Amino acid sequence: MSGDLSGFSMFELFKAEAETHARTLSDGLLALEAKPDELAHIDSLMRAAHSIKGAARIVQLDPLVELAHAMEDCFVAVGRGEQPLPPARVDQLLRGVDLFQGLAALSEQQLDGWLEAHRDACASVAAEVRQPVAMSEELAGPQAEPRDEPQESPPATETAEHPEAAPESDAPRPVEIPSPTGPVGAIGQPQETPIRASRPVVEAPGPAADDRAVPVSAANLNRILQLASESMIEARRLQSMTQSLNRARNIGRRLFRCLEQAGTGDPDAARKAWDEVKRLQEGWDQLLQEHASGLESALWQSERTSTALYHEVLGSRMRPFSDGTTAFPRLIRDLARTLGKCVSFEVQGGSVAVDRDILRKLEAPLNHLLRNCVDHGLESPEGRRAAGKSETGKIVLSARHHAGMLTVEVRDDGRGIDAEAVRRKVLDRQLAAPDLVARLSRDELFEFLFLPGFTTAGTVTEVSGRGVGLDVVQSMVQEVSGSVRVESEPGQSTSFTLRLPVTLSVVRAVLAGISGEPYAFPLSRLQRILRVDADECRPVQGRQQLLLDGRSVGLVSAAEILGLPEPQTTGGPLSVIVLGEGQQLYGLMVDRFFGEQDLVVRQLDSRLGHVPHISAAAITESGEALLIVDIEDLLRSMQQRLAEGRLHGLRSLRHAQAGGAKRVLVVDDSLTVREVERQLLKAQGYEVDIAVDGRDGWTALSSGDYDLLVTDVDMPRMNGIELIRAVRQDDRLAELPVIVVSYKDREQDRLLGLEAGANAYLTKGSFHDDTFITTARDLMEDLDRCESPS
Amino acid sequence: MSEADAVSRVRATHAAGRHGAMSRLLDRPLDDEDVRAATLRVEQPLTVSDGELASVLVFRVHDELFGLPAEDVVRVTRVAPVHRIPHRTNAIIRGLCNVEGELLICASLSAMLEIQGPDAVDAAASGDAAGRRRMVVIGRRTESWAVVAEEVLGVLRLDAKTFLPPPATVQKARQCFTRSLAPLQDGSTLAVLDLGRLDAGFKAALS
Repeated sequence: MSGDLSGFSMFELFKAEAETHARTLSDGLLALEAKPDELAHIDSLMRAAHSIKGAARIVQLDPLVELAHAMEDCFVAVGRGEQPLPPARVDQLLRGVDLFQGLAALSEQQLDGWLEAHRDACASVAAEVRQPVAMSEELAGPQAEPRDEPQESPPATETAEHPEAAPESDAPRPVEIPSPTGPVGAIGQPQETPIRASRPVVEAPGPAADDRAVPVSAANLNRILQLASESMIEARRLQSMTQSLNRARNIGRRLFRCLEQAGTGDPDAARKAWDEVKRLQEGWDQLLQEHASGLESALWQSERTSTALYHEVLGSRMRPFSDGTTAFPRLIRDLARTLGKCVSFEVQGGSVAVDRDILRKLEAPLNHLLRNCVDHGLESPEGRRAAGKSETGKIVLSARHHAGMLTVEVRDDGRGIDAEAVRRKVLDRQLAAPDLVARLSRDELFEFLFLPGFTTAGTVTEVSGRGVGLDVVQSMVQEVSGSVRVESEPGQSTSFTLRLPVTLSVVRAVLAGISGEPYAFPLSRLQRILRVDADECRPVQGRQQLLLDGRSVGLVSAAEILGLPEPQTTGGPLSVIVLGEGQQLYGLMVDRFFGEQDLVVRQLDSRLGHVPHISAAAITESGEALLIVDIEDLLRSMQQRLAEGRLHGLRSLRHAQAGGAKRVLVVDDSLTVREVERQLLKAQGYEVDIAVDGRDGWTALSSGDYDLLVTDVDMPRMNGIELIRAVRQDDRLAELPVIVVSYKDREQDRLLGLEAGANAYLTKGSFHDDTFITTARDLMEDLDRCESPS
Repeated sequence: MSEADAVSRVRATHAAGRHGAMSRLLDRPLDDEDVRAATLRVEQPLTVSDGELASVLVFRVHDELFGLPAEDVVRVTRVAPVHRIPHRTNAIIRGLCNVEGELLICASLSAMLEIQGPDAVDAAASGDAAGRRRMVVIGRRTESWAVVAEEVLGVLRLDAKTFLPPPATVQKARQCFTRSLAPLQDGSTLAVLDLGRLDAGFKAALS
């Protein structure tokens, strides 16, 4: 086949077909296993197997023809009631499905190798399926034999797996998360088999990203085609209007000639001309009227069509949530069977529309959360009975749109998370000082679950091993600026709730003119927009201010920050966009507002590199290019600019009273940690200020004068790494000593901190001894030595 | 499985590739310039040359004519407003513009070639000659630039054998970007620009 172009396209077709039918087979088998009496599924199973058989014959994949044939015969026998369908047989059939799926993930180049490697597997599965049930049941007990690895994962991914085989290597792996191999659950059946993620996501190899094929629903595509042809027809309709406009022009000329004749002075001619004018005018008026209404309806029609087309094309980016969940029923079924648990799994909100990209990113985290549910969340049937619950544990995966966000929840009715056990674990691993740990709230304790490798070794049974790789979940969610929350009712349930943006491709924004050109400010990040009289703003200590609900808002010109020429002031009211949060509000002065619009976000041309203050571009409704403002970045610059004047004053003041107490800024979102650090530093005679997150810290740094910065890494709004980078990029702060104090104790976390520009990276265990204080003192003394010669 | 549920696979259309670009160029509606150029071409006495014929798009930057090999031109279109890019816009890099739904970086040929005169981009919206101004998208599909020409005269087919290397007397900036000089029938010569060097020059102006 290889090398033959026509064969290539046939194989592509076959792949698409095999994928669809394999999914039908998988779904049907699971449904039939759950409800063996409902033979309605058997028809679709027979059809799917039959279709694969036929398709495989066309592309001459003989081993698959035989396998599909055997499966088809089996379904026929089951349908006639000649054979039962015990779980062991379902296992065999599912292995057959795996082979089809493995094939569907191949590129044409990999096909020959795959066939070579799997010829025997195909034959043996086919043979097994052809065996009468009684015999194959002996082969596979209730605990299914270990899963046949090579059959499950296509060859393309195997090579990718091995380099990371060591369990200690805990680099974030978005695709596959190894599960702990230690004792699981309370039941007496030791399981040595490592459980692997069901089916690694296989990125289709080959064509460049831009040329890739993406699934679009046929209905959606049809609608797009209809609308596109509709808009062409409308364009032609407009063409016909130019003809009627020409007719109107002709009448106009005749009218003019009549008037010319009327002007010659001959009263007869004038009267005749006047009659003619009246006659022509009627027709003219009617023609123009028709023309105007025709134009109006054409405009209305065209606007409607193009709006519908626009929405339909945007909608083509959305896929139903169920598209991303197809692998899960099988994953849970296999895992439950291996662990000897009874699990019912339900997907709610399968039709909820989710952005293609988000759906793809969700696969690994959901896979992980669901595995956790089965593996650790749910008790054994015995354990559940003892707890007075139904033997069958329940896992619900649900999706819904809520408040403009996509909410995805994974909930189980298992043993829940024991907060006290987490507390003990934190103590055991010395992640924080004992008195601090004692005071941690439930929510604060649960945050530890997201630390990398929190419960890998020596798992306390009650903790149930949750946390293995939860950092993967968290990092994905943060990547798309969403959030993740854990809730748990001990003994009753656990739920993980992910809140994500519905789409990454459209943003609602306020359009404002800056230096005569439009810029967009994403609505989600705005505090307010205002029109204020110039005399409401007054300069305080050399900077423009505005009072808003009793809070002072520093004003900065947008053109100045963006480095554009200032527009000429009209003297009218100022247009101000208020940004920031809490007491830290900033007003950005723009030329004018243009209102709100939904914008399709376009990435900036990569040749431009990272453009300060700009996150992306878009096209306005009137077809002009515009830029979308990076509000975080802009805020940083505004804070800096407003602080500059004051800072210079402070700096000279400090040199005047050299030898005064050193000032330290502590940035941490945990009250407890902040307090511990503050007490420790104060005891050494330092002056300590605190900030509750990165952005708060940055504001404090911009306006205060510090000798040391102590910061956490994981914080909302602006994390510690971003804070350190911002500090290092700022000329005035570049020399400021920085200590990172974090729960994260892996080498790569440490490296990340140090690369960002931290002088020291300590874990929160450093409060036990004087490591923290010694480091702080040494760093500040170093700074003194550097400064004194100058 | 209903038809509505069936998943069809479509090629992402924005990745139509170079063939798409060429067919777009060829399929675009004829305007006066095109017709004029075609007429000009047909008027030429048919001289069957052994040498290869090079198709060159001829356009005017201020008062001077330049050529660019037709395969280096993506399309010629209406002049679109240009949005400055903060911290990036300079004399050569003018900003972003929407060319038929695609956001392209607009660069100034006159600044690049150091041709004096009112800047084509700034003056695009005003003046008598505004009607003749065209946006010329040059480059490869993925990395193209929009430049403004005061006028696009059309595509000439020239005998590549007659091309001469640019003489050293040509002003320095222009010499950098000229690949060859093509003698025209009226005895004048046309400077044929080199896309690679222009591309490098624009990129250098970005950093």
